[in-house]
Amino acid sequence: MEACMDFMNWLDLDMSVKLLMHLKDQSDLARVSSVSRSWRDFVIANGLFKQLCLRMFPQLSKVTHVMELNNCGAKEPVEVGSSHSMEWESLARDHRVYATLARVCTSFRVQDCISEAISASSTDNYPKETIDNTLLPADIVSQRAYWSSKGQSNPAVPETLTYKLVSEFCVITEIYIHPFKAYFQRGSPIYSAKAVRFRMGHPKSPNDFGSHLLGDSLPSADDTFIWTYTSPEFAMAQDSCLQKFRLPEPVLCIGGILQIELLGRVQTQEIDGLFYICISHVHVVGRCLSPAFVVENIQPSGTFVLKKDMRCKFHTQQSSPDNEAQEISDDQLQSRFRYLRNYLRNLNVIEIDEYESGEEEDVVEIEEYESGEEEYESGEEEDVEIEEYGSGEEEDEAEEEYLL
Amino acid sequence: MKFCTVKQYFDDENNNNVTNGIATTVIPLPNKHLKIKANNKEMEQYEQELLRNVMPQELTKLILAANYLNFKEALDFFCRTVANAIQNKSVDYVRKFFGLESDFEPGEEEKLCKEFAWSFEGVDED
Repeated sequence: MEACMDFMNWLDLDMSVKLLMHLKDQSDLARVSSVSRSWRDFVIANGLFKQLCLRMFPQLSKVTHVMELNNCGAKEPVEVGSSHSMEWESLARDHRVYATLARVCTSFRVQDCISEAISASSTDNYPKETIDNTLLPADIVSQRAYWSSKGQSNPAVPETLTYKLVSEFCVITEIYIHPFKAYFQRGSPIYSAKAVRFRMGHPKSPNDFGSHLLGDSLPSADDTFIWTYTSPEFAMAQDSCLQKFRLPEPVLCIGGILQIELLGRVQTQEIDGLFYICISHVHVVGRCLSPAFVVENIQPSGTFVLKKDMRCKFHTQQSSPDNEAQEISDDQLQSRFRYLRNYLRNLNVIEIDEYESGEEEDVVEIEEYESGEEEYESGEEEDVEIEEYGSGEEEDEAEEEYLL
Repeated sequence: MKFCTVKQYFDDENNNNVTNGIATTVIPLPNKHLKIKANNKEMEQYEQELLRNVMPQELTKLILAANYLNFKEALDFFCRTVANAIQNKSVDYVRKFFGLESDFEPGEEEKLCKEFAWSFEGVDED
């Protein structure tokens, strides 16, 4: 009687792999590898979890090898005299690491991933119109705080904004940009760009995060960073609202550097007839995979070592749309405080032109952040899709205290 | 090109790889494909119907047959079907589906359950 139709016995290797590769979900593959010893061994021997991860994130093709840090934070030693070959140990390690990676890439909580601003390609009226302004909470300062490029007579001259992310290993899904509307100028012009594009990468020299790039002078960011991912171009609306740019697929940013390229200028300033781009707010949304996963030895070619830290809990960071406001990390909070403090300090010193009242109906803030998220006030309903993003309520409260 | 193997099959007198029953299922597929290629939904329905009459045990044979006949679309389809059939199902279900038994030591299986605890959440009822 043919009780068993273990297809592994019937089909050749290619077919079996092909069959199991139709399983797109990491949980399905994990369960399959728990069915029996031979199935588990099959999954390990053929690196099916690694293949699954590579399909999700082609950026992982640059991994030279993986490591596991055990509960003492040390590299897991291979047992001496173990009956398993080194090769099998290596495959088994790959299996464990990639299985966990597949899991965390879809389950760790979604958050704002910018840690700090690094530099802008040009800045007008530095430091008043610095790139740091793009990280200030929008509801408090969006009408007044913005980054401005220098003016150009040629509208084709692009600009770039470069940011450091919260870790060197993040999955990025969306970027939000809010072009600035100059309420204090006649006609309230909106200084958006024609299109945007995003690049991700790492510093050329380790730990060189371009702190020397701040300020008015510009060694080019391109000399400091190596870009390993470039997104397609997205058209930008000449609309003063938080515009969402969703990457075609989630992207693993290896190295923690993200750059926004602002392509093409659309708005001249009446006073000087030059084209400017001004942005009042930037958000980068994704999942931070550190400290559970750490990348090391990022080479100029982009190859790197992937380390899984087994001291971390991989299951507790459940992301759910019903979560209360998500936490902003301490570092981010401190950064935001610094910017806000500096900004307000500048405000006291520099006069700001009054803008005409009665233009409130044109004030469009950001809408539709879910989960009772209060950071952005809702103004007119705009055609902006924003889903599942929440940010720190703690941030709001903290700032209110500060202002009081 | 698709039908080279089929022709060979009919020419071959001693053919053990593909029993008649399987052949009647697999061979009409190319025609059907062509006829309703444009309409994906119709194809899906046809495929669903086909599968309702096919036992899991047959699926492996169908896959083998499609492989032998070098029929890529059918192969893809059958593989997809098996994958869909076990999607989000528990480990026990998968074992029953293929008629397998667990050959893990008790300790081993527990260890796996712990390591992949996340994969056992939210699974369909058996």
